[in-house]
Amino acid sequence: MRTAMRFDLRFDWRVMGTAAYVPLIVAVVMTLFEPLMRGSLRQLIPALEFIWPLFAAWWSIFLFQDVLEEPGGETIFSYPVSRFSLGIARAAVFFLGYAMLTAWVVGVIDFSLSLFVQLLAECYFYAGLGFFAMTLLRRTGWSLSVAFCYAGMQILTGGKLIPLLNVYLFNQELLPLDLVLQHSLPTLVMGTVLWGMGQWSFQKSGAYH
Amino acid sequence: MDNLIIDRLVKKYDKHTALNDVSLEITPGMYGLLGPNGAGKTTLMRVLTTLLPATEGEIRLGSVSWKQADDVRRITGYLPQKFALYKHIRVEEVLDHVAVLKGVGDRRREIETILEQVNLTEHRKKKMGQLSGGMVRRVGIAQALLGDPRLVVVDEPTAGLDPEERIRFRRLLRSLGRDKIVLISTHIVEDIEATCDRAAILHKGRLVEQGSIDRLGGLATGKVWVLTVPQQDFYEVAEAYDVIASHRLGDRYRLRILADTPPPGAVCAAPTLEDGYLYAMRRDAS
Ligand SMILES: Nc1ncnc2c1ncn2[C@@H]1O[C@H](COP(=O)(O)OP(=O)(O)O)[C@@H](O)[C@H]1O
Ligand SMILES: [Mg+2]
Repeated sequence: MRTAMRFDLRFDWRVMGTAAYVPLIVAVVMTLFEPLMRGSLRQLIPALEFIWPLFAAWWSIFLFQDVLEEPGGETIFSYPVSRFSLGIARAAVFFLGYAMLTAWVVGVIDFSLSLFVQLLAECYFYAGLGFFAMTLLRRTGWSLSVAFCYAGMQILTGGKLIPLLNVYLFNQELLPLDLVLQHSLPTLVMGTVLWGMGQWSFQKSGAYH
Repeated sequence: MDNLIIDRLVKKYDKHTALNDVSLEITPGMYGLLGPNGAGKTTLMRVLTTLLPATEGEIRLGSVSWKQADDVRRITGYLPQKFALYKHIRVEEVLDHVAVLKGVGDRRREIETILEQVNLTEHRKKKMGQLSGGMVRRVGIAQALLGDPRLVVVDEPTAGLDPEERIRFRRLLRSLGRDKIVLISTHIVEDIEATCDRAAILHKGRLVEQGSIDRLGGLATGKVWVLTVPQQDFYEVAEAYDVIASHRLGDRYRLRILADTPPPGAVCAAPTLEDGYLYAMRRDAS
């Protein structure tokens, strides 16, 4: 018999404490940009692209604070629950929530499928980056730094720091959907690699405190 | 009830051998695992809870083989040495979460019973971060007991507790072993004396001795001596002999000495578990 998949999402939310609400607050702030910039897409799209995907890493990191950062985390691994459901599956459920938030933010600002797809691909990448960084480093602070440093470097250099790993499109107007899809493909591939490596690292985490 | 059978267990970390050919049959009830720091106790506990894979050897409990980690997790409860989790969550919520993860059927009822058993009913609404060290340990026992495991593994149960809390926690441990195998690892002899019927001694990854508490104490029969000396002779005697304890009596010292032949003027003493433990360790080292 295989180990069970078991979820307790309400508890996962409670454990994150105030940190759980940060993406919600950022979402609200994003929608406030619209009246602030008087609907100018030239400013809105870059502002959205530089801030919103980055925060997709947030829940991927804080979900694992107790399991990976606290010295009692090994207790949880002794339970009859699969590491798949403790790890990637739990993070994926919260990413789904983030995808819904993305739809809401895009809907409020300017309903556009291409903008939604663009942001969603970038969010997927960041959620994977946060998951991998956290399972590897086991510290929320360092993991957040990894995500913020990556974002900062790529944005400041216009994606030229490591062009191969750049996920930003730097567009100032809405792009046609097929162009966005074409550019998002590498982002989705990188994201999937990060999610996979995150689970691999979570699976073998046995270096107990 | 079945015994837990550990058969020629080896655990290596890269080159370092933390457990070297350990074979042990653990009977139901309270069983102690005694050894100094670095002996391999925590490693053995982590292998028993499937957190670490064994390098070689086999472990069985009745029909459950440790080759099937999933089956093992269904019948084991674990309290690690450092149990700090979910600081801003209430005790009852933490236990409910553990019960969900363990797939417990009637969660409310089982949590009620266990809270009662570990004497935390009145603290159930408190947040984990507000509890004293002793209370956190009791939550630790509660989470280990959820799901009614056949094997409960407790690592260094009294580490970090003050003397009062120690006494109370040992009393709680003592009450657990009725229908389970409860394995307690510690480097503190009193923990074992106060809670266990049988014990094994681990030293540098090897099993040195095993048996009833009386038998382990008895290892030092005829080797323990009590000698009372004036204060000024203390250092001289301490250099010449293996002094394992000393008490001040006015201006004299009463020394407990481990030796094969009696020191002049010494009186033979009845050995305690501590004497047997120290004797076995010295014998193993030489
Ligand atoms: N994750 C690890 N990697 C490498 N060596 C380890 C690891 N954990 C423990 N050891 C080594 O294995 C030996 C036994 O450690 P441990 O099982 O923690 O002993 P105890 O719990 O009896 O103090 C020690 O020498 C320790 O340094
Ligand atoms: Mg230890």
